[in-house]
Amino acid sequence: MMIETQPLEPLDRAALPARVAALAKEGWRLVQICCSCRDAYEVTYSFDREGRFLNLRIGFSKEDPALPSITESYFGAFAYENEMQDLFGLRLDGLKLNFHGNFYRLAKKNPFLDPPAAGSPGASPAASPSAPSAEGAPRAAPDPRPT
Amino acid sequence: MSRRTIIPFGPQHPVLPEPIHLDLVMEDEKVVEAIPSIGFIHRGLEKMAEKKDFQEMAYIAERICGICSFIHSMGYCQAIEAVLRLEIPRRAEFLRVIWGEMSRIHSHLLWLGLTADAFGFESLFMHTWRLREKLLDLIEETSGGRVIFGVCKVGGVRRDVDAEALDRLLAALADLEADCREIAAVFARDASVQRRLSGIGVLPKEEALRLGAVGPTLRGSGVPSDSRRLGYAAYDALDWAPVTEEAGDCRARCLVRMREIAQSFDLIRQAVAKIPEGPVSAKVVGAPRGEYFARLEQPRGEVVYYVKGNGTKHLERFRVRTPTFANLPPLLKILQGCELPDVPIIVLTIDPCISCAER
Amino acid sequence: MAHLTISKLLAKSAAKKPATRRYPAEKRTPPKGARGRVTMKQLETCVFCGVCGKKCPTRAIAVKRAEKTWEIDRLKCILCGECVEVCPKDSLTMEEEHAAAFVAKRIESHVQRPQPAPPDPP
Ligand code: SF4
Ligand code: SF4
Repeated sequence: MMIETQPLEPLDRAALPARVAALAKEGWRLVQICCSCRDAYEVTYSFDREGRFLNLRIGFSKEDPALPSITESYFGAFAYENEMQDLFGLRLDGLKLNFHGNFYRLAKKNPFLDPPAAGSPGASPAASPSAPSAEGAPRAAPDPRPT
Repeated sequence: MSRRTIIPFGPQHPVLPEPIHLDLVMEDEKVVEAIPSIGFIHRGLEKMAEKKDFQEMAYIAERICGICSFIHSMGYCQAIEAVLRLEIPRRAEFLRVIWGEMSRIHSHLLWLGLTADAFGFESLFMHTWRLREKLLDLIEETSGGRVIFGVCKVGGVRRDVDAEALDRLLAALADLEADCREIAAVFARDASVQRRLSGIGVLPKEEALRLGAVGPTLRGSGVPSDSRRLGYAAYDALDWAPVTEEAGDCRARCLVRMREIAQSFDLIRQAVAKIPEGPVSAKVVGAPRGEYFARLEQPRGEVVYYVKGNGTKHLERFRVRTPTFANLPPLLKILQGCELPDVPIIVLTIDPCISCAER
Repeated sequence: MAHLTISKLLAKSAAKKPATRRYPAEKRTPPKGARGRVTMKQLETCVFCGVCGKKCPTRAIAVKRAEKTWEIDRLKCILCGECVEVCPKDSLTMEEEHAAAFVAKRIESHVQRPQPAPPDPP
């Protein structure tokens, strides 16, 4: 089994643009940006250079949901940053191609922000009809026309 | 300076079977800028992991995309296995490679057909898809499903393919390979195909890297980047090198995919020759605690699976970065300065799969 | 650069019989091991333990112990085959032929009749 070593570098929010600019200069490729939010925000920036993998991690509280944009160094980050903005309600400062919350067409604002209350039907992601809302709940009354 | 107009393109467009909308800012027939808008089909599958058992999630992961289906479930399972520190049997890893490469051939054939269709070469389209149909039959014979394989699970694979079936598979693939060569010759040499693809949508090497392109889009610009080189599953035991083309235009991306089809046939042959005997799945104990980024190579490029578990059977965060998501920024770059009639073909050559980009 | 490179391929395929099937007259036999549809093969052996329903990732199966019914909603089933694998009594089977298309939603339900000699105790 192959398990990659994936160094994780904790970083301060304010130091992000400079660090990312340095990585861009060294020729790292931006692999992805991942946001997650339980009690506090946790944003991970992943980079790759010739197969080597590096993560930068920024943590900050829910009270202050803002991040500096890195589109200055990596224009391609606009997709990830708009995604975070839409799904997690982050504010991205200096985002070059800003869709202002319209990157995804969502039925609910910032659907990924709250953890779902277990079993509550209203907590379905994006409240889309395809997402089963009552997981594991007993099925609706059987069809009156049995075969 | 001529006047600027905006032409809306998509999400419903005859040559574009994907729900992406582009606002094309035009000057005469030239595209000055393309502004994308996606999000028509956001499904929120990442969030679903918080309510589903982590083992059942493998089925959902497979359904993120209907074309790279197998590699999606494989990526998810690899990420979970890494978090669990679960060693899966070697035979399962080889079977995953065999199915993964079959899925790559299927995806590339599908794409080649669609491209032929987009530049109006209907007979080529039909013949490419005729071959794809044969491959789907082989997939069904070995895995039980035509498009959704349903054979990957956390801890290995769900069914074994015996030696006799593997021999039959090899024989059938040899026929298919010969047929694919005929098609490849048309794509590589036919004058009408060349005129439609050469010199269009050039993505220089530095731009490709800087904008985060992945997969054939990146390799078509001369960067030998392929996640399979990390040596996950059984790729460490096989002999191969990433396919690259230097030109960076639509033709280069097309050639990369064509040569990858040939390479996949070869990889399957190697894997069948080297596959060890043994069980195909390991028992899963406990629940994932910890996090991991699994990186795999899909037909469209590198996919990243991030899982974070907290020791319960529900994941805390599940994230998929699909190749098309990474290929959107380079697409916008190549569209700048192209002619309007070339837009569909350029959009197609990144092999967009918006459904998986939006998960 | 070459012209008409596809003509050889076209000539070859014109000489062969069509690659497609004349559908209603000629039907495709699915290969061995294909996952077509789940069926209740032996209702008499089912002990209504409900394991199949619990293991089903989409909750397509509902088992009612008291009424001795086993139900499946085919539109929910994703044909993964888990239920067939986990059934302790081997009552279920995966058939290779797909289920026919429906015109209305319905739930297929199987009720076990009281038997003169009860099957082996659970
Ligand atoms: S698992 Fe088998 S025995 Fe148990 S309820 Fe389902 S079909 Fe019946
Ligand atoms: S095949 Fe899978 S989805 Fe269908 S009923 Fe069985 S367990 Fe459920």
